[in-house]
Amino acid sequence: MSRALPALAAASALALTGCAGGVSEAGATAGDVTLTVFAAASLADAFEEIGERFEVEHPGVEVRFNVAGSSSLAQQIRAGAPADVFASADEPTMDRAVEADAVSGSPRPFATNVLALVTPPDNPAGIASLQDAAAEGVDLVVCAPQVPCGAATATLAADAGLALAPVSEESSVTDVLGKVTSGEADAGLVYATDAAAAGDAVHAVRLERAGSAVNTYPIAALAHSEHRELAEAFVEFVLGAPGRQVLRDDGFGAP
Amino acid sequence: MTGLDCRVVVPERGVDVAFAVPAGQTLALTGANGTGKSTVLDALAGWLRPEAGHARLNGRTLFTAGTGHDSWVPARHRRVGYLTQDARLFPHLSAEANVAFGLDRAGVVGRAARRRAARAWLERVGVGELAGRRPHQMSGGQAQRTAIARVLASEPQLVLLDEPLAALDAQVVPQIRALLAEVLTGRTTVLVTHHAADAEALAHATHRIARAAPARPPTA
Amino acid sequence: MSITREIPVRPPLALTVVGVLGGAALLLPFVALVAGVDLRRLPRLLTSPEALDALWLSLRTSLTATAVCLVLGIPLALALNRLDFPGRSLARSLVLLPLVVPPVVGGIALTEAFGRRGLVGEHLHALGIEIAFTSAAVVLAQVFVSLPFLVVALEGTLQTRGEAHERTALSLGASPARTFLTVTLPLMGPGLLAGTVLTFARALGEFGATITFAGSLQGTTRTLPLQVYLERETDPEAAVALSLVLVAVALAVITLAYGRRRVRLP
Repeated sequence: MSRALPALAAASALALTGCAGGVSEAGATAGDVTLTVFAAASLADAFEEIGERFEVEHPGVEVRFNVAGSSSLAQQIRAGAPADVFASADEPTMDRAVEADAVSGSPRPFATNVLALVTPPDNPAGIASLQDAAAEGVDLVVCAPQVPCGAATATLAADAGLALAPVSEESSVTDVLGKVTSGEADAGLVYATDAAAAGDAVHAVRLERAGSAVNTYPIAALAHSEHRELAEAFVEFVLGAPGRQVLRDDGFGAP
Repeated sequence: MTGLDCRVVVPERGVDVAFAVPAGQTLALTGANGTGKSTVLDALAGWLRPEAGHARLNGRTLFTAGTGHDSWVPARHRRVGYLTQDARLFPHLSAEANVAFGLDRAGVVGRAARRRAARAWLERVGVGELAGRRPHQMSGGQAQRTAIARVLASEPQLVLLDEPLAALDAQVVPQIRALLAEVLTGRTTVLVTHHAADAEALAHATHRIARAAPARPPTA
Repeated sequence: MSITREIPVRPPLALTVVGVLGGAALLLPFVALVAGVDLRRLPRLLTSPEALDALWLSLRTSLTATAVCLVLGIPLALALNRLDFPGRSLARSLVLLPLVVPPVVGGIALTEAFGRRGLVGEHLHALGIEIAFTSAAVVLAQVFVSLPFLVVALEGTLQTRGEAHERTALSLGASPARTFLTVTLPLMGPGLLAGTVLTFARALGEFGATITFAGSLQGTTRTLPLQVYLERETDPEAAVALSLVLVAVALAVITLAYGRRRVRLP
């Protein structure tokens, strides 16, 4: 205790004198403005990267992300959460934010995602198609119809004329993926981007008519944002060349 | 030989006591607090295993310890009844059911027979009319009478009494003491007490435990 | 009859004020929950096929889990309280582990143990026994998280009761089995009731381990909490209504477990 005291005194003296000049400098780069972006869970990796690039082009701005299921985010926004930008995984969910007059202007589509069929790496049930996954005795896990990836699943199945008999309807893509990577399930329907991000942890099966169920991701600046211009700038950035490139690298399609 | 012959050695409590009780007689065990009177009873009842010593009851070995070939009869096979100062009746059972609890060992078989036997015992200790009562509906004296009936109904070959009158109201003490004197007649009994009056009224002989050497800590 | 009143030792006023704030923090969310329900829609929200399936499944699995907990928990509490074995205090702490670990972690641990590729599950799978995605998985998750509640409650009771009555029974010649059935078990009474009720409540509220380990399918694994979580996505009002059911059950349970305590003490 007594030995720590002089050290503490020295440190505070340093803070008061030597570093005084540095504080304002550091302040400029650490972010005078914080931009809060609510992004659908499937966008997490891509938006992290886009955010970093945006910060480089806009010194003094810090971009923070709140990543969750689109429906949860829409609900938080309707409840008045302090967000500047909302990027949803599907249009119906964005529409709910629009209906609540939470959106400034109209939302713009910036990416698309399709479903992918994944199995554990060793593909124990020998699944080669959606038909195989729909067969009896196969433990198929999908998203519940209430969430965007589940709505896409329903569309895909209807297009293929198949009645899926899942053993579980999960509330999020992450839960579907988890059940497949742990080997609990024989197959799962997730977004192509999630399948890509999972890498070797899953085996991806090509879906012939994956394009029949395309999720379009809309983005919008929010009405009660305190940094409206910056929010608009972020939306433009996502829609522009830098954003498009990152999204493409992560497996998203162009709208 | 019949009766009780024992030695109980529990070094960490500074206890080393040996005595014998002829069959059918009562021995009062007296001594200051902390001399290990209750420890001796616990060892005889089978609730505590002494480091050394032995106990033989009517020719049966209850335990031998510290000899190299130890033996140990568990409490439930000893036929040793234990009455403490608090009656320790089972709170969820009626007086009758409490007394009937020990009848199994006495070989009373069948519901009706057990009921009759339990009632008879309750009559004998003077609480026949309380057969249906729960312990919390009884006075201290009534509870202790029931406990006496319960212990004796199980037909023990040795009765241990640990300050059986200590927790009772002063005015009921003489009655319970008289009851004990009556029902213990002819039973091999060890009575732990502080009171000369109890020893005088109930015991044929008194063994006074001297203040022993200070307790040594248990050896590892 | 004269009325005597003891003078209570009151805490300082400032502490009382903070204490009231603490109470408000606990109760306010529930008040808001009740206020958030449209009473006219309530009957329809609660009788949808999904809600009824979830409610029925929750009741079935929670009751089963409670029964399993009793069968496992009473011997466990006795062993921890009455047996002298090396590492007993460590064992007593380990029993609490599911209580303090986040439920998701519990779910992952259960998957590692009973999942198709898990330590035990692998062999079960080979025998043709599948646990994942069945109601049995829900029960397993519920037992895992609620068993500690029962064991803690029972251990407390055993501790306060002591062993005097059991010793008396043994000295009267009763076998260990008879002593357990006629003395130990009845004397556990109040603690057993409170523990059982809490165990049931915890099982009913189980969410994290279930969603991680058991999955979510209407009528099979989607219990009431999982249904609430899913409804929240599309129909927040239905989620609130179903939440209300869980709160009502919890309230009933707490009243049952603790409400009568004041009357009981001898």
